Amino acid sequence: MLTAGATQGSAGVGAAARGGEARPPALSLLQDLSGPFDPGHLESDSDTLDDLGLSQVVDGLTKGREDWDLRPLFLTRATSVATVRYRQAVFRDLENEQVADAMVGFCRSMTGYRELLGRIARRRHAPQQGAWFLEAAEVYCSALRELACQLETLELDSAGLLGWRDFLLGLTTSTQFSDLAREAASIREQLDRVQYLVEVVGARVTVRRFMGEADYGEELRAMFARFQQGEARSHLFQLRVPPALSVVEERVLDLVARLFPEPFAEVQRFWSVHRGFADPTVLAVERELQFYLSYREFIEPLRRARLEFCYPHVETDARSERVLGGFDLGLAVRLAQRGQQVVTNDFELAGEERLLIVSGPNQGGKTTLARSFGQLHHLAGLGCPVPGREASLLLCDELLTHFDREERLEDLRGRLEDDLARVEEILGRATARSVVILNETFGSASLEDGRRLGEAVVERLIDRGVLGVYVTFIEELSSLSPATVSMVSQVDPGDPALRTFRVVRQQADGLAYAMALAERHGLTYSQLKRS
Amino acid sequence: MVLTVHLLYPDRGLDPKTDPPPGSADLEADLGLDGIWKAMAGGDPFVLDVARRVTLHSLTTEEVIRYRQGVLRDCLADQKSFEELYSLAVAAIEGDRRIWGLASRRPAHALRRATQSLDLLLPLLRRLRQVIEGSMSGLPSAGVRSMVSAVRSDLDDAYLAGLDSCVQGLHRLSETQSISARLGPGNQGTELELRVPSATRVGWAERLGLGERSQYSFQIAPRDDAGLQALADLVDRGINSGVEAVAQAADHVLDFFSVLRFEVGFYLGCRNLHRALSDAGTSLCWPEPLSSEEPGLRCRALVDAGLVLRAPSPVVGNDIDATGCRLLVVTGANSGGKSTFLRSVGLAQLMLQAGMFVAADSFAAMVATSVQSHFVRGEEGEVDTGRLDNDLARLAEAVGRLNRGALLLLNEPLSATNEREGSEIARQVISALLEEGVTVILVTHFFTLATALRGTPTVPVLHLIAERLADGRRTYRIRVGDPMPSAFGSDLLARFELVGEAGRQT
Repeated sequence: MLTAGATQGSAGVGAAARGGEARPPALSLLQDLSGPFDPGHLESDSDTLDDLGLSQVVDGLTKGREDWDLRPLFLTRATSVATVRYRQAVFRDLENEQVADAMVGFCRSMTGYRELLGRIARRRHAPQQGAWFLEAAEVYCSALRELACQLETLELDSAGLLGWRDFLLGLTTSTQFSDLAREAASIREQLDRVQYLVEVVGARVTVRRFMGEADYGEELRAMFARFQQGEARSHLFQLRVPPALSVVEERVLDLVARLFPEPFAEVQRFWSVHRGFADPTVLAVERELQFYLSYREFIEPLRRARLEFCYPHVETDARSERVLGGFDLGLAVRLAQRGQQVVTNDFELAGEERLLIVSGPNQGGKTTLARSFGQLHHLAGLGCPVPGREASLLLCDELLTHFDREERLEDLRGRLEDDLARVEEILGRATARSVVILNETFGSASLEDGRRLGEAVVERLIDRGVLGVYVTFIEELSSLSPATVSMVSQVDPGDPALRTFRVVRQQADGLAYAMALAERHGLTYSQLKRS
Repeated sequence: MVLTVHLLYPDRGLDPKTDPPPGSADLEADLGLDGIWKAMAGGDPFVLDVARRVTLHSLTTEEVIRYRQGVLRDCLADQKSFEELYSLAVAAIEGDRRIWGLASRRPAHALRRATQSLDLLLPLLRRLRQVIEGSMSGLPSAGVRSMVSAVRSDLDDAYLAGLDSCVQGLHRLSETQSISARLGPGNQGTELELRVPSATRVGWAERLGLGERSQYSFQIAPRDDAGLQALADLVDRGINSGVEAVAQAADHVLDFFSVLRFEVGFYLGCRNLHRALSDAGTSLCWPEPLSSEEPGLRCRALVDAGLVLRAPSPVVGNDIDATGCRLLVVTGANSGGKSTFLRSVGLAQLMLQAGMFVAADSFAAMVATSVQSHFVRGEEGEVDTGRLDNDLARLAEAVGRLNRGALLLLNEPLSATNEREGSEIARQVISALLEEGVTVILVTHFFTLATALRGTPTVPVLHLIAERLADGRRTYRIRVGDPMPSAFGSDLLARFELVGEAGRQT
């Protein structure tokens, strides 16, 4: 309901604005419009989003903000480093609580504004619509004035917010804007003076001007005051005031309009003159602010749980990568809600190294590491602060994934075919600027087939020069070439049943887990020697 | 001005919801207050609650004690009027409860119910005025006189007539409602207020179509259910705050009756107790509150009123003169009446400080700032660290509640440990309390403790013993006498030692 209404409403205003003069937004918080246009790279592959756990993250980011259609913004990675830095600077400015509070307040007011326009679209009754329109104008004017006033005193560094401040100062001091605000205030004053009396006798309703009739409750209170022994108890009913006027209220309002014709006529005139008053840049920036604020809000509980985020250093031709304290954003949100500890992992690709080959016990954090690797590249591309204390990453063109999912196909042969087709596609699309993440690919093949296929794929990926992660139970892949780095998921040495979710750089020997189990049963060499 | 009933205090009421002061649970258990309250209630659970709350909230000034004694004398003299006031209050509260029954969901319902309540309450107010004007108007106590004059001036004929027409107006309100409003968000009517309908009607010029129209009307069709419902909703919102005033008006009158019931209820409770004790042949007296500069107590034929109510046989009364004493130490024979004596003193003290009569030929005592008790619980003479721990914890609590001018009743403190340790701990506690201006009445079988306290030079001490005749028979009388080591009852002592030894062997 709300979505439909607000969309209609904003569409209405947009259309009206274009009716006057088609003005494109003068400013964007997402990229520097004075520089070369960054078209961005839209991540449209829903499998990839699911593989990386980004679908849930994006759902969480856009939840409750459906009106602004933020999804495309969270799916489109910047193609230029300049765009990423432009956005990072805005995020940095928003780390200042005062700046963030000002923006949150502004967005809240604008949400109210949209809601009012939605009401106009929903209910065709001029005396009400006029009132909603007047209120929308008031909300709009005061929201912009207040924000302009707040930003004047705050220190800003980002080109985006500095531009927004300049724009606001210009807009709010324009004659057009002041006229709008002044007219609205004067009409409001007239409406506030209206006071009327509704007399109900059975089913007959009479509307009159209010002539100072005495307050019944007051008279009664005075009469019975002498009995009051202590604090009076409340007998007020919590009556639901309907969001829209009832049929009876509408008829009463029509009669009030006849009793007080002047202010009602003023409202209608205001509506027809100022239709589409909202500036298109304001509406565009408001949406972009929602992008920033939603991300900020989303990671807030994690920051409170002492998880660190950082602004990654990105390059479009990076040949090495390094992340300290990375974690899976979606998983962290779920764990933080339950008050559970989040395990972070470090990884690095330096020199000739191109691929992380991840092996080790199941359920030990291998998939989480692969996801986290992919998420980092996506989030860095959005210009967002990323999970981790330090990160330098490739600003990739393509983010290609293949995660084995048992539910994909029952038929093993079919699954293998499917895997091969997908890997073919990935190898076809991958460039030296791409990131590829493969998780238990060829899991349905026999060990020997899996090893041969895996080796072939790893070699081709290295040839192509991509950066990536390959999660596999085939340990041989980890020592295939100097371009591969072996990482192994860890178990607690004292209790192998305990998962640590820690994945560290280590030669895969396939024995750590078994050894730990043996030790627990007293079957290690040294234990046996001693006994 | 608020119409008030101040029968309990000259200048205030007692909030029936305030919790009894700390230490009340101990007093209740130690002094056997339950039996007294039951006798006061005479089967009325409301009076039981009133009795409990009022007796536990001890008065601390001589003036208020005499104020209550005055009202109680009047009550005993004119029981019929007090009973009538009480039943008026009950009729108001019970009648109203029947009207309200289920909770209303709409202001319109609430209006009907509140109007009904006021219909019920108004005649009761008139009746109240009549009772006040009857034999009550001749009663001498300050409390009754102030109530009579308050009712007379606040419920005068003109006001009662005004209330009648006000309630008639409420009946009309269910047919016609005038609601004022302003324009709120979306031009929805806001700040809705119920107004007193004005007589102004359309003038002749407007009726002839000349000049500006001053009003417009419409009618909702009889079968337009949605329209009628919407109108009812609008009216509900419009009358909401006005109806609250009506409901609060009914509340206020009812609250007045509740206070009346509470305060009169206490005196009727005293009357019931007076009757029960008199029937048991106990002599009752008006106790004399002594100023705090004059500590101690004196009494003649003081008995434990609770014991009188429980036991049909005649109860032995005690004559004591401990005027000026800050420490009373009672030692002597087991089962010799020491605990009963302590209870009788505690009960008399509480009844004195509640403005009640006392079961004695005469009783005078200082007005304590607070009365606290600490009685031994469980088997006497049983040594056990868990019990000692518990005992010390309770004693610490009681001591924590004391202030200068307080009275502490101690019954066999520290008996959960051996005599040497118990005596030393108790001696230290009691000495400190005496120095802090607390008055202590101590019952103990510890000879060591009693003799240690003999030498207390700082305050006047009175030593009492439970009387035992030469042939070993107990008289259950307490008299002045120094503690004697042999006073424990060698037979009992021997039995305890045997038990102790048997215990050690197993």
